[in-house]
Amino acid sequence: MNRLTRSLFFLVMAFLYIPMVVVVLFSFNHSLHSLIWHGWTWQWYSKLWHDALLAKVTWHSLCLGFSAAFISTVLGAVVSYSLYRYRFFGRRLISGLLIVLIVIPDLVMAIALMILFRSAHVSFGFVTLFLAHVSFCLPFSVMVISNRLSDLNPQLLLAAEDLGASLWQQWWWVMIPAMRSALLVSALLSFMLSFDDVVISFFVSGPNYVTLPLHVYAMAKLGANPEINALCSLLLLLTVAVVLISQRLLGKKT
Amino acid sequence: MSVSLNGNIKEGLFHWHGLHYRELFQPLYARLLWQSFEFSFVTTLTCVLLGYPVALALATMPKRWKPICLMLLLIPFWSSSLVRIYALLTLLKAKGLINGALLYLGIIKMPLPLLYTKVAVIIGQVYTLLPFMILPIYVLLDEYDSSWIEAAKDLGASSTQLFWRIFWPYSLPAVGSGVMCVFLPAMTLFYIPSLLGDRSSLMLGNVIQEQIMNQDNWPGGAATSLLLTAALLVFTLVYRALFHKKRGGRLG
Amino acid sequence: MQQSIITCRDLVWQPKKTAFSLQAIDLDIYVGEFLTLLGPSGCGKTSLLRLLGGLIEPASGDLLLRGKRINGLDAAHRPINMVFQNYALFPFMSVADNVGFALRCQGIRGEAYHQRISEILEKVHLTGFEKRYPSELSGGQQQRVAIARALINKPSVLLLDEPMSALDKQIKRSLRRELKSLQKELGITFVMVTHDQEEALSMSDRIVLMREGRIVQIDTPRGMYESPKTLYAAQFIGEANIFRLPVKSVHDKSLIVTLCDRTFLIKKPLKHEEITTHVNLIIRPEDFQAWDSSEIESDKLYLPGRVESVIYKGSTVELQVILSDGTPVSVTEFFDETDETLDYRCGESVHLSWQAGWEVVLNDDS
Repeated sequence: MNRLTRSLFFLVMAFLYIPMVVVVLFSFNHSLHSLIWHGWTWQWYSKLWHDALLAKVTWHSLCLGFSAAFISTVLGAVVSYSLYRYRFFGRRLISGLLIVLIVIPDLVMAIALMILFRSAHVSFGFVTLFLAHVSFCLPFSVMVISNRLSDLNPQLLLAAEDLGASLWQQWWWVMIPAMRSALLVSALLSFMLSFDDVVISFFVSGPNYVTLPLHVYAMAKLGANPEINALCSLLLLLTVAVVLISQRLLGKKT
Repeated sequence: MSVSLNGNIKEGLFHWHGLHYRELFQPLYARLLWQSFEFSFVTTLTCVLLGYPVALALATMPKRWKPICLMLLLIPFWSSSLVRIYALLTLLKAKGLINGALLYLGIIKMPLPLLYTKVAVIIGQVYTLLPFMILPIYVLLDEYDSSWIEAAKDLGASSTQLFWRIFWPYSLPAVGSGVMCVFLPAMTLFYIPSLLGDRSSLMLGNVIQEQIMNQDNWPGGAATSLLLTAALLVFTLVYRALFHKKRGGRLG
Repeated sequence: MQQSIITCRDLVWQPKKTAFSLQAIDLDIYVGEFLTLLGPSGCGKTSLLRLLGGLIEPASGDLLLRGKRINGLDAAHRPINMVFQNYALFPFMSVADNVGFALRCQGIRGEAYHQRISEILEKVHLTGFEKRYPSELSGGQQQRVAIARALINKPSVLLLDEPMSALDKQIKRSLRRELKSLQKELGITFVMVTHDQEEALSMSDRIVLMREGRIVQIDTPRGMYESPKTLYAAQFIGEANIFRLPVKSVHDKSLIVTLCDRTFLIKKPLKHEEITTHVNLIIRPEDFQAWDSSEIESDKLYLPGRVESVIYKGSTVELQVILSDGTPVSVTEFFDETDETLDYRCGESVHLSWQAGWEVVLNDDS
């Protein structure tokens, strides 16, 4: 049983990785259409570098990613802390809603948000994208931070209180250092979720504010080309970096 | 979603005349709904069949290899699924690597029509969603106690019995949440059929996208997504009924 | 009369929505003593500690510190600090940062800050450990850091909330000794909560035994063990054989009871009017002696029984004996170089006697 499952594991990994490796490899291929290897080149990357439209949508996605990651992490910390520290009315309801937000299909959430924004007369653009991204990042932030808090000795806060720490001092000197790695992971993951999102952005973006994944989607619909290969390779690189960093952070026990 | 039930709120955009729900039962919709269901079912089944052994292999991996193998799984899990679908597209296209290799080896004379088929859509869905099946099962299996294996073997259980009597019942809730993580997105990830499929392989997600973005048929779109939400609700309830009684309220 | 530092007068604490409460707590805590609050979980000992620390407020009654009423004064303003369960050191701060936490909270910085830290670290013998982190310390060192952290504001009383509850047995023993000697050196009043009677007996000057939100008995460890005032105290502290016996007759200074068809004359510690139809006779296992039939002349004054099990414990042997009337009894025999006959087998018949006057006689607990 062991040998069989283990070989299946590597087969499945091959299935998952071969397409990605091929894309990365062919982003260095000199030929425009052919699958035949024509030698190494950086030309597709330099072409990306000089693409003004691409620069604009990347800038959009970065702004969106950073602001959504920051706000959802801050809110996530506040929500997790309240869930951890206080027993209040509606506590279960809030954690239940957060779980619903995680399992609900993106599309359903997208339509709901779109209808909400439409009926509130919010013009589609950065604001709608930002609100939508915060709302799908927040449950993940809460999950990551709450997970860390559940390992935290609740006596630490009592000890700080006993030693005369004010509420602010408890936050700055005890809670934030204790949650530090979880806050970073939450920010990284939220950034990643926001930076990669297609489905929700598709419905809540405006013509003047297109994000990078939407741009890639529009290009990919026209068929494959080496420039998208290069772009996708860069996006994959970013993901690998984020996963590596967050694993390091989560693995470290402090 | 309530908009589709609740009539003329804004701008007269949404008119309630019961039509949108009746639309859902027209032959075209019924066919698409059935097709989405079929596709998602096949995708989910394939994911369980492939994902379970992979999760088991990962959980029973020697300690030295585990972190690296887990990393191998986490990278596709967190990668943009659009990028990954695009990668698959380059592989499957008529002049793609697979056809190229088969032609080169002389197995086929003409490029196979791999892309823009129903099979391509299903492969794409499995490719995208497989990590979402593996991870929850792995997380649960990873907590198993190695003394169970020893105890079971000591009591004379064969490997098959070990699996069916111990691992399978233990991991069933995780399989349940894996199914939730695969089945519903499979119905709704509209860009997979639209990049890999043709007109005949459209799914519910495409219908909603089409209704809202191109036909400006908002109530129709909202009604369709309400249907999806109802499906989600039924799923969740079934899941809870099946698994929540036995264990405490843990998030699988 | 010793001078008391904390006085509780008729303290009542009644949390909302729970049946649990603290009732009529009267307690004097003396300067420099090591006091232990002992009882099973749910007896209210931790709540009482939190009342003293100001983490919760009493519903009525007076809490006095050196004669001054401190009800309503919040935790930060009481000269009372706490050592938490498993110490609750901040894992991401160095020893110096942990110890100086309370000073930083008051905005004390610079020369004074560092000097106070080195002073206190010297007192707990941790000079040179300033830059270490809690994870790099042994259990004993962690305990001393926790005490130093709590002592930095020079409190008059230190509260310890089951400080060693999660540690293993070996470490516990040495930490107890260390804690006790540190308390003697520092001369500060310690109030410790524990559910471990061995811990309470070995460390305290006085023990406060609690049950269901009330104080049952306050006594020295020895007094608590040798003259328990209730059956509950007898059972909770140490092992006890309790015989509930009908009273045959009551005399001026004694009473007569029957056990295993034999009559025994027992000195009467209870007042005449307190004696009802039954009394409880309490005999500690080590107060019993077991003899075999060759060692006794007549079995009139002995309790006949049969050995059910023998547990060898190094310096002692523990016997389970079933008396002729079916009552199970625990007996502990100490090894003695001169006594060669301390060898028991299961099923063997034995005769038990106890040192007259070492028994305790109690009524049923109300």
